[in-house]
Parts: sequence; structure tokens; C-alpha cells
Amino acid sequence: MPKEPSRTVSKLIFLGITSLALLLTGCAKQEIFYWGNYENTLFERYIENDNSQTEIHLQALIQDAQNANRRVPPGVYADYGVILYKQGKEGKAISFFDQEKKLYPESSILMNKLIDSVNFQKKGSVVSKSSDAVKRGGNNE
Amino acid sequence: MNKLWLFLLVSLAVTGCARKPADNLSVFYAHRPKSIVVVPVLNETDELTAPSVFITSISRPLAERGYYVFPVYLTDMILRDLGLVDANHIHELPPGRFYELFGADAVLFVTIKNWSTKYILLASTVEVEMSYKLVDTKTGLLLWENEQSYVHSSSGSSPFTVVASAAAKGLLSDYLPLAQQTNSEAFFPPKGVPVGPYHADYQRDQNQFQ
Repeated sequence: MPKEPSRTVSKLIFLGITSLALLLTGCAKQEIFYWGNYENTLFERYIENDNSQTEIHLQALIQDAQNANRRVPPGVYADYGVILYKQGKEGKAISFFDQEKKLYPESSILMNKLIDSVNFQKKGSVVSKSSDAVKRGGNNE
Repeated sequence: MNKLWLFLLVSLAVTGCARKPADNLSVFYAHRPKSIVVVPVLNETDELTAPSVFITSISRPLAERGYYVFPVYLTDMILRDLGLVDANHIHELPPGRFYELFGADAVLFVTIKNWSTKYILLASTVEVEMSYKLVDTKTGLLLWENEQSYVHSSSGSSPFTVVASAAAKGLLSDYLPLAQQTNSEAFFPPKGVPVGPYHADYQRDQNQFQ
């Protein structure tokens, strides 16, 4: 118990130092986007050649960003759309390309191309279901 | 990672806030790109995995400068689908191609000029030399360029000690912090790229650059 006051003092000193540090980093701000483990997913895909966890990681990133009321980074919805497309979920894929476009109009030209291409292939796959199997097989490239 | 950012932000706060406007950025200011596509990294070294390590750590710092950065993995896939695999070839395409393909305002060409580890008895150093060129896709004009070179030594008490010693061990995943550091510093003032429309300081950061 007699130690309480000195603890308070050291707490105050700590607070003082912390606020000084905050003042010094006056230009510092929170990041614009919520990145979660996005760089890890890229590392897995590029370097470990393993995209088995990508879907789970991107899902978590989107969920966490929404929960924290933060902005999903450029490209995340598009990346997720591609994964859905490879799983043969064309409709869902298109909805994610649309979300990317809505959040980032700069992506419109590319997203429209992807949407058109998926729609075109969707019509084709009514005729031949085998193309879906090919896509699924190509998932573990 | 957090420590790196803190270090970076502190140095920004201390050094970045009072500089004269740069005149070599006039072309940049005349075009002001909003979106950037980063194409595969050109590798002039023997370290085969270096381009992958750099490409995975480039989107975040660049987007945090306020730009729409096209997803690098998807970009890679699209280029491959078109038979564009060789970075040398991709870097020589007319810049207008990147507008046609992606609708990007600007294309970023990154070249790894040097990436080597040297061992001197008990110490080791990692040398990294990078070049960054941002080109307008509509006019082909060079908007911004930067050359960064670093020597991280494992001797002494530099903050890069851990990185350098890890690199000396040849662990690929430990190169990542080095790439992250290099890419972040390349895009931030005083030599970095002015901020884009998603950044709060858009059009108000002219005096941060050399």
C-alpha cells in the first residue's frame, strides 16, 4: 500500500513521456487502410506458392476491417473475386468485382473487363460443364 | 513491423515537415495520377526470389500514400494470361498499354539493381539498390523517380542488425522486413512520391519534397 503514491508518480512520468512522444510524432496518423494480414497473403501466394489459405485470410481481413469501421485496402475485393471465380462461383465473383468498383472507381475499367469476361464464360459453361472442373483443377497452381 | 513504422514516422516528424517545394515534380503535379499499376519487378541480380519479396511489400506503402494500387497478384495473372511473363519485356512496353489493360493512370517500374550479402569474418552486410520509375500511361512522361540504396551491417548497433543477421542466415522470410523498409522509405518524403487523393494531405504536401 505505501508503494501506491510512487506508482502513481511513475505512471504520470510514463504518461508524460508517452504524450511527448505523441507530440513529436505529430505527422503520424492512423493508416488510411486496414491491411490485416494482406502482405502475408501475398507472401504465401508469391513466395510459398501456396494459396490454400488466401480465401480464409481475405475473408478475415474484410470482416475485421468492417468491424473496426476501417477501409478495405485497394484490390482486396478484386483478389477475393478472383478466388471465387476460380471456385466456379461466377455470380459471387461478379458481386465482389462490383464492390471493388464501388469502393474504388479507379478500378472500373479493369473490373468491367473482368465482369464481362466472367459473364461471357458463364454463358459458355451452360453448354459445357467441364470447364468448371478445369477451373477447379487450376485452383492449386 | 510496428517498430519500423514508428521509427519511420518519428523520422518523418523530425525531418519531413519543413522543406522547400521540389521543382523536379512539376510534371507530376501537371498530371496527378490517382491509380497506379505495379508491374513485375525487374531483377538485375542473382537473387532469384528478390522480385517476389519486393512485390509483396510494395502495395501497402504505396497505397498509404493515397493511391489506388491495382492488386499485384491479379496484375501478374492478367499479364501472364497475355503471355507477358518476362519483366524485361514488360518494362519495355509502351506505357499506353497499361492504360488499355488496367485503366491505370500511371505505371510503376521497379528494378532491383543490387541485392547482395557480404561476409567479413564475424560481420555481414546486406546491400540493396533499387530504382523506381513512375510513368504516366497517357503521355508516357516520367512523373517521378527515385533510387534507394542501403547497406545494412550486422556489426555495431544499427537498428538493422536483426535484419542483416537474419539475411546472412539466408532465411527468405527474414528478407521481408528489409524489403518493407526499402519500399516505405522510397515512397515517403523527402524523396518520395507526393500523396494521392485518398490521403488527407492531398494537394497540400508540396513543401515536403527535395
